[in-house]
Amino acid sequence: MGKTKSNFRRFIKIIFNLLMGIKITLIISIIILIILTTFNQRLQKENAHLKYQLNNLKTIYNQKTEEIKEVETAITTMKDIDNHIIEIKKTFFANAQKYEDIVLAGRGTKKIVYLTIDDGPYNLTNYFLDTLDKHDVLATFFLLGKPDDRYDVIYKRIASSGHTVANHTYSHNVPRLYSNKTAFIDDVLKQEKFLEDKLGVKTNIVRFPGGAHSAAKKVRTGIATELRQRRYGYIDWNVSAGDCSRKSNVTTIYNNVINGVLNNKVSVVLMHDFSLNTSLALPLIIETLEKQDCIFLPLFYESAVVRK
Amino acid sequence: MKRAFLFGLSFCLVGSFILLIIEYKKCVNLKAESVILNKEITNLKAQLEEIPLTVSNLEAAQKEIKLAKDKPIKEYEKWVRQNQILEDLLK
Repeated sequence: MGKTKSNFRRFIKIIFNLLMGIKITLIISIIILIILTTFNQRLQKENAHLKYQLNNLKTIYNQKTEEIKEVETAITTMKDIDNHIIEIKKTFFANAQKYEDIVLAGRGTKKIVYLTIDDGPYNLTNYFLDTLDKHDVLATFFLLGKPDDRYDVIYKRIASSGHTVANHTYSHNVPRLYSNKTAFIDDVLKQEKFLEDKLGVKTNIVRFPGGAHSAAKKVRTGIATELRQRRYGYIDWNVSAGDCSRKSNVTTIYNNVINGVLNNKVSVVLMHDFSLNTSLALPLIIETLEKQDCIFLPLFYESAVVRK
Repeated sequence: MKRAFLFGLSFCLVGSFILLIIEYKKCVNLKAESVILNKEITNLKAQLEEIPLTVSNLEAAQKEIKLAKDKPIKEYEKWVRQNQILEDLLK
């Protein structure tokens, strides 16, 4: 009986110890759990903050990378600027041709004006170039051959400003040029070589000194055929500034151009850069024509107004 | 009664162990995530620190080229402007 009692007491003691052990373990694990949960919450907060910081850094990094890419693209463009100029010119003249077709079909919103300046270079050519630059307008210069060094800068300025460099023969010697076809073609080719040597530009548009009708019909036909074979186009004008006349002044030149352009969809305006009056009238001519919804284009071989 | 109490306690103990394991795993994952995030931040900061140098080098190169190719750049910009006028008219 006593043994059973002692066994029972031992059992109770074991159970009691077990319960105590479980309780203590439970309390410890709960404490650890609380500590871990608190720690995890703190970690979660820290990580959320880190993610926010990382996102901000990524945004800044992406912005900076974009900026770098832009600068790199700009540098690549600059390094390859000559090719880019060739490409943009091609696009420009293709667009010019498209727009000219639209205008000639009577659908354009703006009329086209080709400003053509003959017989240069002269010292006064700089005034013309200043005005054209100031108004961001491109024109066409029908140049003669003037080997005098003082004109080198002007030749180069015309070409580097983007104006069309066109051929007006080397000599402008009307009696000799129209005596026969060969005299005219030789002079055109001499001027072609002169400009190519000086500017690296090969001309493909020519204007007959005094206009195509200055040549007798037979000579003119022969010249036109020969020019076509040599892939040259030629062009006269449908508006004249009248600046060759001694009676001309700034007002008459202005009126001649403005009234001449009025009725044309496409105007080819003849001017001369030996005329101080024309250089004085030019700013107002450009401003007035711009207000009258005209755009100024430089001539190009493919233009419908260039005869081929 | 004591047996039921014992079972209850054991159940709580097992439960708390399971919760402990879950929280521990969470803790390990969070720490790993924290390490990765810190690494990424350090890398990005290092890259960002290099950027000003890259930018200043590029800007210097750009300036140099701009000076050397001033005329053709101006010519190009002129053609772009002129072309834009035509593009607008063709729209």
